[in-house]
Amino acid sequence: MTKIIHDSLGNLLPQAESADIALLLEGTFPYVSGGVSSWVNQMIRAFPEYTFALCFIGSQPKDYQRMSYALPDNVVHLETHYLYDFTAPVNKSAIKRETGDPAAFERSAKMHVAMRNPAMRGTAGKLLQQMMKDLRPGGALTQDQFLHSEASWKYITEQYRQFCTDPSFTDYFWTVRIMHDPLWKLAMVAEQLIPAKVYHTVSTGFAGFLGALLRYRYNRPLLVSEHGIYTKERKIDLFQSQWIRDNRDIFERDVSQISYFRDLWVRFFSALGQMCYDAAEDISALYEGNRLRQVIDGAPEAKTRNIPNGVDVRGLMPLRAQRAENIPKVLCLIGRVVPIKDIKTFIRAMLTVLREMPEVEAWIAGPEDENEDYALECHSLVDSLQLGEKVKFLGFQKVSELLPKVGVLILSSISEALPLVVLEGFAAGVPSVTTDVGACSQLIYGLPGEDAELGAAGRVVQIADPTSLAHAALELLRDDEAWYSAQRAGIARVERYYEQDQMVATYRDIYTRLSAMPDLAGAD
Amino acid sequence: MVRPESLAQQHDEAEPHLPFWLKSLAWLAAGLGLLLQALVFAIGLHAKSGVLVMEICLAIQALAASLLAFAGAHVLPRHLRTPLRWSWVHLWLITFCIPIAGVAILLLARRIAAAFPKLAIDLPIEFVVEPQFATDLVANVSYGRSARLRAELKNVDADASYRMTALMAMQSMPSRTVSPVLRSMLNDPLDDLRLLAYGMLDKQEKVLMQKILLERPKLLLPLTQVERFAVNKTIAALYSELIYANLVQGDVYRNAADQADVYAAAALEIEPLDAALWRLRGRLALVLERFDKADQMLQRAIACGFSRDRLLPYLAEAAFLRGDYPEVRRLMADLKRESTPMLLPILHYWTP
Repeated sequence: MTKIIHDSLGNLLPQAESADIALLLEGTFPYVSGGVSSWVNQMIRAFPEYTFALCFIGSQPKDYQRMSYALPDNVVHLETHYLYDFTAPVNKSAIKRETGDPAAFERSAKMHVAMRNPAMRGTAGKLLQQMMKDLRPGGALTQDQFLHSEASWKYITEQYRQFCTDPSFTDYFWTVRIMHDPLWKLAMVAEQLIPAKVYHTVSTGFAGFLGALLRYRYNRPLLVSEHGIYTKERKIDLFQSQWIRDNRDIFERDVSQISYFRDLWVRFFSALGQMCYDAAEDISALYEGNRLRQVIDGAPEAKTRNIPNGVDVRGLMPLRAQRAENIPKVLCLIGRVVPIKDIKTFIRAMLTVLREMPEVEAWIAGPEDENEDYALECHSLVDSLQLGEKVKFLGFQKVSELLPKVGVLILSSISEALPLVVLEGFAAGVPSVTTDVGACSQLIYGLPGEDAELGAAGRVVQIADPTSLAHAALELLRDDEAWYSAQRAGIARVERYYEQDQMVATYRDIYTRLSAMPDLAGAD
Repeated sequence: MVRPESLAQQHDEAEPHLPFWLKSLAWLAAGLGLLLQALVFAIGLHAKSGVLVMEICLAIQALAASLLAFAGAHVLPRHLRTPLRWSWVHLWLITFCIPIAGVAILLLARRIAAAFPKLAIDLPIEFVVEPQFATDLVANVSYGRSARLRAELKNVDADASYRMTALMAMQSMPSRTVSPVLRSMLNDPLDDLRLLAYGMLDKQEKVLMQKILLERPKLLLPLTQVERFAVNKTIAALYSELIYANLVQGDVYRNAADQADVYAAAALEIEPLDAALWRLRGRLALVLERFDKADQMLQRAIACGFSRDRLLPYLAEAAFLRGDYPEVRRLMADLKRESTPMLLPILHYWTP
């Protein structure tokens, strides 16, 4: 029986008492649009025989005002949790002085020792399983004990003296508190989430950690489907972030050593990823490069596999007939206007393209509201390069209406996994010029063997290289023979290897197998 | 600071190894010496007292002391047995005068001595010739750090975290030096490294672009001529900084040079005697391959008071690119007066 409630922002949240599959979603569907969200939407709709519960994890409610997708009918339950939605400061007198359970802190200490030692990876995982019970409300190491007990203070100060290379204890203390606080929130989420036969997370990180908690709490299998590699992306963010303090003075600072707090955050997210991999029954990646990366990051190889994305080729096929006789002199980038898509490189490439072929137009089709500052920078760049007449921002567009008018699809991203938009372009008869990221090279040139023999479905260039991007696009626009050859290769490749039915069939097997599994061994 | 224990350790490590046979012989002598001293004890306890017995005991004791002194002189660390002759005498006397216990005292003394810091004179340190400061190399030396980081970055076989750290370390270096290295990392096989290099490049470019975007709208406001001049000059400098820091390539590079020139020209319309702006326009004309214009603008800069000596290399470059080699030689001859070590090879070539 499904009830509907409204959240504080007026969104409709269906509520049920149980579901077949619980999807654990961190910062994605249904509140954020993008590749992963489209995939989640596609997956839920492809399995009408299963009911889905969605557990959305975000940072703060203000970042997720409204849903970007309509919920499919088989989503029977949706709950939202915000990890950095801090409640108003409590009355100090309400804080109880705690002594802390020494045995629980001893277990925590042992786990941290094991985490520091790469040779003790397995031990750390087992110790965490044992500690799951401690983190639950009423357990031996509750959030209150972590925040207010003497044992916690003693442990944190000891760890600071023993390991911290940053001189500020204050920063160390608050970093440790802020870093670990979400773990208890997730433990609370795990306690009250409705029962499901299978837990399915689409990333590691906090959602993956929640998956591990649920796996050990209810002994039901966990499936991990990673698109990008969460730990890697977090690491890049952390290396570039400005908010992490480095208090070393000129004499203490060794430029070849990253700051202690930065390293601590990186290790924290690596540990979350490791715990998720340890708890999972099945781990999937979109392509071989990412699968190998998962293994390097600690995923047991036997649990890993590749399940490439697929698109509805039959649904997109009619778009080929809608194409004009001549190749449209339009380069189109379909994607959110965000830094990871490196829209600026595409804009810069247009300087070269227009110098050599003034009739070309550039379209940027994607929502601009996710990172408004970046969108503004892109518009300003267009103005400063005086490309306003030729570079057009179209906002969100339906690909079915857009693709027949496009000559070459451009993907200038600095990071991708296996981009659906390139496959959709192939299915609609549009070749692509992409950067050499993720599985793009595999999509354009094919994997060695029969796939590669189909030919090149476009061109691949280095990231952040506007000149190469421009020349690759011009090569296809100028040479009809090269363009048609790329179109043929793209259509053949997507029809043979990236049909949505193949992906759905693989997941159907996994869902069927995991749902039918008897309860697994517990953490105790 | 190096702690005393580690100095002692270094010293012991520096001790030359004895040949096996000599070491064995020393230990054999020590054993035999102790055995003989035990024999003297036994004789003293059981034999009747008498001069002969006393003499025999003293003789055996002397022999035992000699054997123990031989052993000690070979087994003890070198710094405890120099000068050699006196250390022999010392060892002999102590083992002669205090049978059995003498050896124990020696071993105890050895332990105590090891606990004390060693004198610097004992350390294997040699005097070397005082280094000379090579002033002529100042401009060419990259002081190791940058070179080491570059080598670490380029080594694709090195551990990923090691290379990431090397890249991170580059953040503290000037953009102009780092940008080409970062650009070369954009096709690195390691995804993390590519992304980090991109992020660093993007951040540097973004800082300058944001300043430009902040300045440009000011020109739409009603400004005094002085203010308008200042804004145009700032924007010109920011665009040329994009070029100087190697942050723009290809057509974007040309566009940045064009933009810098446009804003510099606008500033010069207000203040035609700004020598620094004429110099900037001269350099931009060189970049844009307008060599005659470059020459004219650099001459204007000199006429407005810019030091001719500092502009000679650019004038020579413009002449060279125009193919006017006699002019290059003439300018080089002027430059010789102000030569710097870096320019010496070029000056030798042009003005033999």
